[in-house]
Amino acid sequence: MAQDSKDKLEEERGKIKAQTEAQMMRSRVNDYVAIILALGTVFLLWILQLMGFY
Amino acid sequence: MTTDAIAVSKGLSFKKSSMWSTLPGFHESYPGLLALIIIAVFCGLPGLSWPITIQHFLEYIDEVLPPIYGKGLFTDLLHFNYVVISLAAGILIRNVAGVPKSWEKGLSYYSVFLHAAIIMLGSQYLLRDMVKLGSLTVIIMVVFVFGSCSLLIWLGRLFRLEDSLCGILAAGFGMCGVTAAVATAPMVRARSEQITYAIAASVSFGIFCLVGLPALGRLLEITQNSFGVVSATGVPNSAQVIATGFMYGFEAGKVAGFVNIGRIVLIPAGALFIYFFTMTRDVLASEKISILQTVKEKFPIYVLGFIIVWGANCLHLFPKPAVFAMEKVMIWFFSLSFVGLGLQTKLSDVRKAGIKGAIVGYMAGAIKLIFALIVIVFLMRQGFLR
Repeated sequence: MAQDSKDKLEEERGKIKAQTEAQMMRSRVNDYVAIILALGTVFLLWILQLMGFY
Repeated sequence: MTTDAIAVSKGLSFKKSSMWSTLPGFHESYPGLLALIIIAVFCGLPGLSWPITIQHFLEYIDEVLPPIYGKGLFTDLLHFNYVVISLAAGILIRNVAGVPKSWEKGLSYYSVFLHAAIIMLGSQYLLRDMVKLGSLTVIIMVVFVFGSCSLLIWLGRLFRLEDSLCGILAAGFGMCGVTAAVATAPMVRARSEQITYAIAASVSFGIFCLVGLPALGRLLEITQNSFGVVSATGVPNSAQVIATGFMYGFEAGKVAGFVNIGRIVLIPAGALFIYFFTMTRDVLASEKISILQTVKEKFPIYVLGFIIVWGANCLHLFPKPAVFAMEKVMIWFFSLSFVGLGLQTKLSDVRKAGIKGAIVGYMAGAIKLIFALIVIVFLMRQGFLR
């Protein structure tokens, strides 16, 4: 009985770990996309200004 | 050969696809992304000459209606700027009309726009601005992060909450809401319903801050700079910190975003602090947590993007017109993220947060906010803060 509930608890913990790891992974990927988007925009605006577009 | 074996045999490609696969594809995301852009354009993107916007409509109503004490109702008295309009439109759509399921995946990109805008915020600051904000702001930030985490842990024990719930509530209210709660959850062994609960409690507290704090700021005549610090210190969720700041004024929003970076950087240290103070001695003895690994895993990597842009601006690499254009695009990114934040705000979260945990969270959040207001207004009136 005690072993059963311990197993269940471990299983639940495993699930939570996997869930939060997936969320953290998505958050990290979001960060990379944000960096690419922001640095790309900054670079583009800088280049366009140097080329005299505005 | 099984699919896994094929993937493993390809080595790098398996690793790469597993990381990027967490991102929804274009076909799943475009309805939500398109909705974000269309709603933001109709709310009124600054610098975009599109005539049919809610902002223009409200300005028209102010011209038609007789002025109240010589002021327009929406623009002057209720301070309806593009942030308030974007947020309000999003919240109304979500809670009155509802959001189609096909939008959900695209809407999850709102944090990408928020982080991209924060990175671009670096182009608006120079080294002298950092010096002006001063070491005092850094001290306030550190004291309030660790102080409110300790307060919440103490209140949680007083109300006999479970250690795990207490831990993620401390992360959610003491640091920056959702990100901090998710980052701390596996360390304090939180259950899934506890994570949802802590997120609901901190987000719903943030909704009250969004509505009430700018009004309180105007009542206390707080300066733009100081209100930015109040917002970054007292409001739990990063997106809500910046939105609250922008609701008060453009400068306050920029300062809130800048100061909030200090709080985001503290996530790994805060998560470790909560772990060591909420877990029992037995757990601490049986588990060996690598501090370096935790810092590496929990560090918000987009801060590096901010440092790159800020560093380039400090070296005066960007000419003035480019900085001006970057400011415009930054505002667009912020607008998109505020529409997304509104569309993700479920007012039912206030109900979902329940009683006991919400009391502890709200109590700690309110105490922190009141202390932040007292300290910052005092420092402002004494001339230590601008």
